[in-house]
Amino acid sequence: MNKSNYIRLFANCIPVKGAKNVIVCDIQRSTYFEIDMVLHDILVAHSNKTIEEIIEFYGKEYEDEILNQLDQLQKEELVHLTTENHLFPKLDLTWETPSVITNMIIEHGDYFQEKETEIVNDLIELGVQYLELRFYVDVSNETLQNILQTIQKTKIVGIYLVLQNFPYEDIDKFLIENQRVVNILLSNATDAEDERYKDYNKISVVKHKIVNNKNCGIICQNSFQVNLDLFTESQQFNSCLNKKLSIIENGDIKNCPSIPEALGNIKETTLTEIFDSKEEDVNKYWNITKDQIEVCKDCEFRYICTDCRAFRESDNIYSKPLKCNYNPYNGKWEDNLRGSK
Amino acid sequence: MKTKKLNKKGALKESIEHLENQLPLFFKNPEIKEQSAKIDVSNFLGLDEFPVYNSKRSACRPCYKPISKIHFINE
Repeated sequence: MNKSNYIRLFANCIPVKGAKNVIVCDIQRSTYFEIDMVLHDILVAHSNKTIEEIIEFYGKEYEDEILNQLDQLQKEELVHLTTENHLFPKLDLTWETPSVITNMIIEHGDYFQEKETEIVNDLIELGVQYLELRFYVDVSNETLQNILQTIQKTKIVGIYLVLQNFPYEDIDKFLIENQRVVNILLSNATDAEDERYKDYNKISVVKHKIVNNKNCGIICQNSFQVNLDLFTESQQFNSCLNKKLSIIENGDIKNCPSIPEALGNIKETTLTEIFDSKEEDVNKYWNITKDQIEVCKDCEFRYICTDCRAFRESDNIYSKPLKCNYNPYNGKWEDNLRGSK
Repeated sequence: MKTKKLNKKGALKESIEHLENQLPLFFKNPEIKEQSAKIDVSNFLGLDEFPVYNSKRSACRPCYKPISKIHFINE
């Protein structure tokens, strides 16, 4: 390693420092690496020093250790050497979207048949990109097919289904004909259903019965996503509630189905009317970033996890998500998940 | 003196006619009969009912973040 060079993280490898641990988020390869706190300082605080100057700063006795660590980073393709340090600017972390609402959650209810046309028009008008369609009771294939056919008019690129039953015999045919369906969560599944769907990537089964939106809000490592969109959105906005709108079973319109505040009811108004007349209420939570939330602001995972404001540790709007059991001060996941039951 | 007739009438025409067979289609002037028959797309999965959104077919993709956390249930 030429010690007269500068060592730089690739622009897509961004370090995030927590109270105890540091991770480097590789937003291009969708993964993260844990690194030592001292190494973080070398890469961030001493980024304007050559390797030689860094060794000089820490002392000759640490030379082998520093070189070894930098070598590891280079092998993992997280850093590169350069003599022209100034030629590598940081990535622009501004997040933008053309949609008024990006994510929509619809709990199927009695209101739907009557208001279907207005809802679909609003999905188009608001530029909704992703839709989660939840059924808390069994659904017939005619009902599901009608809804999916109507949604084809929209610009939605991904549909998530939460079902109590899968009303189709031919799974392959259903998936081919409904390519916008990117995931199906089958609740209350039997062992036979578990076996039947095990080879389908798009279908996940849980034996637990999802009866209402109280089942939401669990934050775990499986829910982490490392990508440019989430990383940049988290810098400025709430990673869960930003640009989200929901209709719950009784027709109430909310930011998220699990939060108590209703903005109106779909039987009396439309989504666009709500957005135009109550914009401040709609985006009450949108600008709460992880950097403002207690405990989360000291967590190294804060830009790759999605927040939850519906289930919080206290009434304080900035308190930690109740269903997160990670402690960033000791770097451990606790066994008991508070509030998950 | 006997002169060789290079541009013998009919010879050039013949050679062009021969060449025309080798020309790509766009140099030719084929007769186009207008087709008014409707194409049946009911069994063709590549098209949906709304052609303007056909391009979205290839753009179908999962969201960059969990749309909700109902999918992460501790069992």
